[in-house]
Amino acid sequence: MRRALLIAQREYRQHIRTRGFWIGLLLIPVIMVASTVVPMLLDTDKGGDAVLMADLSGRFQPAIERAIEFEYQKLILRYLSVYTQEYDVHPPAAPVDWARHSLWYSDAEAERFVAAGGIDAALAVLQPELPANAAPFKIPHRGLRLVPFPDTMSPALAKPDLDAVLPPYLKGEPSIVAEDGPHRVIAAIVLPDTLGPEHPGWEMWTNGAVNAGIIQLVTDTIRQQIRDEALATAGFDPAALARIEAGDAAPHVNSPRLGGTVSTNAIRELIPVGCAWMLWMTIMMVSNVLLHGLIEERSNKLIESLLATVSAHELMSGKLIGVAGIGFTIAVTWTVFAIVSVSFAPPDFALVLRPALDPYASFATVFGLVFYFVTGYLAIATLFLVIGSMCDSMHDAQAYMTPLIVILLAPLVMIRPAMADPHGLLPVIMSWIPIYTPFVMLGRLGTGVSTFEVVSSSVLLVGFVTGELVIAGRIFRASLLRTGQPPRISALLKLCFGKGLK
Amino acid sequence: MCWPAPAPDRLALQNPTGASWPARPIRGGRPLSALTLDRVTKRFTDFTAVDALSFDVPEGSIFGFLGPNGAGKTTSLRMVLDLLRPDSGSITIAGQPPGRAALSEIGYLPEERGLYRRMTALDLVSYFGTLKGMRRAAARAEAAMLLERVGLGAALHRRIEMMSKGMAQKVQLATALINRPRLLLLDEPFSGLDPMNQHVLEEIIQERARDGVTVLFSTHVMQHAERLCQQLVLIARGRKLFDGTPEQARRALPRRLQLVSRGDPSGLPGVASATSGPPVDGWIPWQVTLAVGADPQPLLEACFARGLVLRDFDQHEPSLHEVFMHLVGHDLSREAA
Repeated sequence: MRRALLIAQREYRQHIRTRGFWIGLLLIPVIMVASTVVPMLLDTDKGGDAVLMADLSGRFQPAIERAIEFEYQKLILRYLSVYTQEYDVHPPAAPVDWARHSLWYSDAEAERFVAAGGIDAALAVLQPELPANAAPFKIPHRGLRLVPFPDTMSPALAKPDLDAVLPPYLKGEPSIVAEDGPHRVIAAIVLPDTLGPEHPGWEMWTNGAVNAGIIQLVTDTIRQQIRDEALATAGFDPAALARIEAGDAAPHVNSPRLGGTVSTNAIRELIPVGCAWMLWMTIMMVSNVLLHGLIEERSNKLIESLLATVSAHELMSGKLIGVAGIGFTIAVTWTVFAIVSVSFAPPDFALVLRPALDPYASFATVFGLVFYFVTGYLAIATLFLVIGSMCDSMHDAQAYMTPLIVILLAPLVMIRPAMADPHGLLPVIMSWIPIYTPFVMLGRLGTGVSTFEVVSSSVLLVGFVTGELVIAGRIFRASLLRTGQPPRISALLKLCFGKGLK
Repeated sequence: MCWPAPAPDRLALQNPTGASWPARPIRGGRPLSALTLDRVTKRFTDFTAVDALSFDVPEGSIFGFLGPNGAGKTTSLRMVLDLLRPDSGSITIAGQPPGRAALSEIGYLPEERGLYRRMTALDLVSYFGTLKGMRRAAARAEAAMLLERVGLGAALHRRIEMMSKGMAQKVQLATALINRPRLLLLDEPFSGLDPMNQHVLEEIIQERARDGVTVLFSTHVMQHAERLCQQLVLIARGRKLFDGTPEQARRALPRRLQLVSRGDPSGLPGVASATSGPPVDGWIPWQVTLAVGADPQPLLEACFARGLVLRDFDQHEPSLHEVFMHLVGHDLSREAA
């Protein structure tokens, strides 16, 4: 065992000194960070999007602006709700509903919020309740604003003329500068002076992406306005009608705390897939290290010197242990990175993620993760090791590698659909195929798999790995000093049964 | 590097790994065997690589293991190292069978050399030392000393990939010597080395032998065997053709003489054949071949006794190369027939 550990130590040290190892180790976290941070850095337009608006009738724009303002105030309410959950504060006399946990607020609630002093008043109420180390509340950016057409362009132009002059603005050149800075124009809207029940049409130009939210908002507001006008003409008081509509009949939506049942279930599907993916990536990376290392030792005739010093069994064990160490380093690094990332994640994301990760913080699950890492690694790395022991070059190895990779890709492709129904036929069958067991069971662990299924599939997996190691040891010993073409299938089968050794 | 001198009646030497060569009595002044092959046969499917091969390697000797390509030398050495198992026959290394215990006492330089290219010379040699059971510090000290000895003192921390082929071969030699083995197996150790380094290697082999190490090496180059070997075995196609000292090998060939005389030496005792050249001033040049085992000295005495006037009497000792060519060629022609 001492010699095997010395070999393992050399394998480990040799590999972690390579540039490839560090690139592989850091690339995934860097990609993860980059995919989050880069869009934020590139998104310099912090002021939100702008819509060029011209209401030639002069009847609708104030209502549309008010509707957009309500949407913004509802966004602030949602942020406040997340903020109070993060610090678990319950203001005793909150005048508005931002302290309840909700991802949906009504116009009436937004109106009350504004009437009560808006965000400034809310923060004044909240401040005494917050812990000393609480981060300041970040007011969200206004997502959408209406801006008038530039002076150089009249919205009263005929449609063909507007068709010609608007596209440059919709491409962002030139950008529109409002009071609070430049804005990206995503659409232009012209409401004709004839807009009414008889002529309900209005024009909208987009940059190619249709924003259904804007269309819905403008349409609803126009419809409401026309209706109010019609009702007023018929003698009804629109203000009284508004009070009736926004009164007690308004829905009072209560949402579970973020990270509660609903959001946890949603993300619970992603975490096992992520774990299985990480396991697969790690195993494939280090198995390749194993294959390349062994082929290098064979091709540069190092094997004979080694075998004059250590046994084939020690060499095989040492390589498996050393490369497992590399894989473990990668897996632990990525896991630590993921944990740190969650710790620094935006509050709403962290609130959703943390409870979903709770099952993975138990000893049993951590044991399961380590168990499936070790058995999954041995099941797959041993195959690579055997291939490496038989081949003098990567070219020779390719003949074995191609079908093997296709077989090994299966869990990665199937894990997502399998997790949609963790107790369906596909994941259950895959759980009993030893080379897939670690990946699939890792995904199913948090979904209430029976103890019998976990234990019996694990026993089968351990039995498979043990048999695989015995057979691999035979092939490894017999193949290392072989030269020329890799052995034929018939010769391999003989070796599997211990014939033709030495 | 000083290996303890063998005690007068017992050999119980220790190498740096702490393992000890079994203490065995020397019987009647006759050297013990460091390695014995007894009717060893190894077949690969239908091909017999080694065929009933038997020989003894005396302890502390420099032993030549000679034979043409494909003779079965490497297969035999791999059986000694337990990398292959004989189909029949037995191998004993200082009285014990090949295996883990014996392996720790053997230093092996394979014919096909290879090293970890990204390791430094010092790291690599000491790594092999630790694999052979040495402590890390001792292995590094020994490795540094060995590399110094083979002329790589300035390249201790140089990566193998930055070394010439000759330098890398010397590093490989150091890996074979690192554990101060009692039996050193060198498979074609001189191939690829320039004459200067071949000389260094010969010196190292002789130093080790003086320290009591048994050195077995295979080679195609008979000059090395001629200079170094106290004992040799010659094999071809897996079979032993000759086993003995270089002197005995030379005697296996008939000796040849060049005479210049005024008479015919054909009838003299020990002469197998005599061929004359054109005479010059009455003196006739002769190419004389003696019978196998015949000595030139009695022939010279017979010349004087019979009044054969000689102007020149030049004896030619057969070289090992000629012995090799004769025995192997004879074996091949017999096989062809």
